[in-house]
Amino acid sequence: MRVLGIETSCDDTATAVVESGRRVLSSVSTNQDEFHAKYGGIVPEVASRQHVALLSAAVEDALARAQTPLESVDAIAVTYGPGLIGSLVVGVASAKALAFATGKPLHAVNHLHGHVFAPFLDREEDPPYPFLALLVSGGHSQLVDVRSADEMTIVGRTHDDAAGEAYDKTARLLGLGFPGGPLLDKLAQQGDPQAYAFPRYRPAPGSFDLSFSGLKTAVRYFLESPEGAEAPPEDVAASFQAAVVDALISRVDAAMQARPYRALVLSGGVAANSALQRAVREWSERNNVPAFIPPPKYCTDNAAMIAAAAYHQRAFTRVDPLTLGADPNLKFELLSP
Amino acid sequence: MRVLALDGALGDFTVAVHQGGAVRSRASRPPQRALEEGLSAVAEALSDATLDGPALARIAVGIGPGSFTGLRIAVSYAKSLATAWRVPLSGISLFDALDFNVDRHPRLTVVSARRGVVSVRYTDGGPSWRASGQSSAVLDDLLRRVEGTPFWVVNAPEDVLGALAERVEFVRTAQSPTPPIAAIAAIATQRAPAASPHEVRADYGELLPARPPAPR
Repeated sequence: MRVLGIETSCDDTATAVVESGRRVLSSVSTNQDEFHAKYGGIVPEVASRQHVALLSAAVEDALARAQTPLESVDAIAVTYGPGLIGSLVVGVASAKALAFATGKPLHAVNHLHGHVFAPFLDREEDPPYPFLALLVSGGHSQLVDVRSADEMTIVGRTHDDAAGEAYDKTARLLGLGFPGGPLLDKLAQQGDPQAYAFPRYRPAPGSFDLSFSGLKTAVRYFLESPEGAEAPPEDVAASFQAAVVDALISRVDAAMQARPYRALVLSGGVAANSALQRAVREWSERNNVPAFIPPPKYCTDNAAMIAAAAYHQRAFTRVDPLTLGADPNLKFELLSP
Repeated sequence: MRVLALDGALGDFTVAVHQGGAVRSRASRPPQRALEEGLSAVAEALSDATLDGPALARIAVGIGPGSFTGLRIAVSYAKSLATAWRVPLSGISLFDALDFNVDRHPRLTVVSARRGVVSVRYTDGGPSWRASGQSSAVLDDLLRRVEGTPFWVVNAPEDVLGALAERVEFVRTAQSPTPPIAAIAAIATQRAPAASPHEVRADYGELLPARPPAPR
């Protein structure tokens, strides 16, 4: 079973062909960073215009790389939310028109569910159910209880900024470029993570929720202080990163103690962060629970994970209608429009 | 030539099948339903013309300027349909569609992008001049350029006509005898298609996607 995946929820124009929900035959992603860099962040209208310009060629490119003509694809999967409405519209319209023209089944996928299935790609062994998924990206930070492919519940979430958002904002405070997360990660590798004790949010007992706005504000006040003005940026970056990773790992630890899981999955753009990956692997070894972390190309937004989610969640038993719309505020629990 | 024409930038999402110099079938949906119901309009127009997609010789799409969202949806549909059916795609400027068979010079063709914002093209038979923005600012700029030369106005909405009337002694209007969707199809039969569907680009006028931040 070969699924053509299309992902345009934010600023990556991504397409892929995936076989049986695991084997990636092609994965194409046209990153728009250079178009957004001059604005210091993602501009929704820029992203949407780029998707219109690039998507059809990206579809053809993914099919060519997979040596799979459109006629040989078994289904078309597309992200229909959550995300930027102007971006989602382009992917949904394109995918629906392909399904209409070919008669192939259409599968609407929740972008966040896609991240849950990223660790299934290009590996011999699937994460065993039930597993705990830590989804961390520029738009989301949550802990998800995954009982099966179509039974997932958020057990912890951020009250304010997502982890990736905190990274980007802190990177801006440090005068780094865009996108800030990877640049801050790189800078932090040269710094002392214990140089400054930035605050860690501690939720009420029994809660696995997160918060990063206090941390971000603390960094800002620190940088505005006389001590902060003299502080080596690499130490600030490393100390900030240590606070984020501490918060995430402590929440994973608490959730794992509250309920037994057979594996830990780390996914989302921030999953590519070196310190977080190291901390997750250390936690995994300490607790003898296997950790599944996708390679960096599947941590960030990609279409292979969307094709994989469609395969695992639907197993081709359900087809979505060509009246599908886009839902920028799509709830996590909603499986289908 | 059998042409499937699509437009989403001028208001309703509109589809027509054009053959032998005439529209054989036509379907439309309200602009706010273009994403959900646009393909049912395509299916309806093809069915009414008793045609299958692959039997088309050409797909033509209005590339703007006009409503951003409607434009994106129509262009996305058109590119995917052309790719899947392997039918050549033509992108047609909506200025050309609105001007189709209008033999008046000089003339100003107006497209409303959204409330109070317009894209215009002025031509006196030579090189044309284009601008987009708040209608009052665009008209002031235009009138400075034409220096009192009278011109015809094509497709101007009421508010633009009103604003013009406040600025010039009289306003002469002209209208294409051909509906825009039929003009899109007809123009496509007269021009070579894009070398590839991927080359068709949306035209957002001179409206920037965002204002770059001021230097600190």
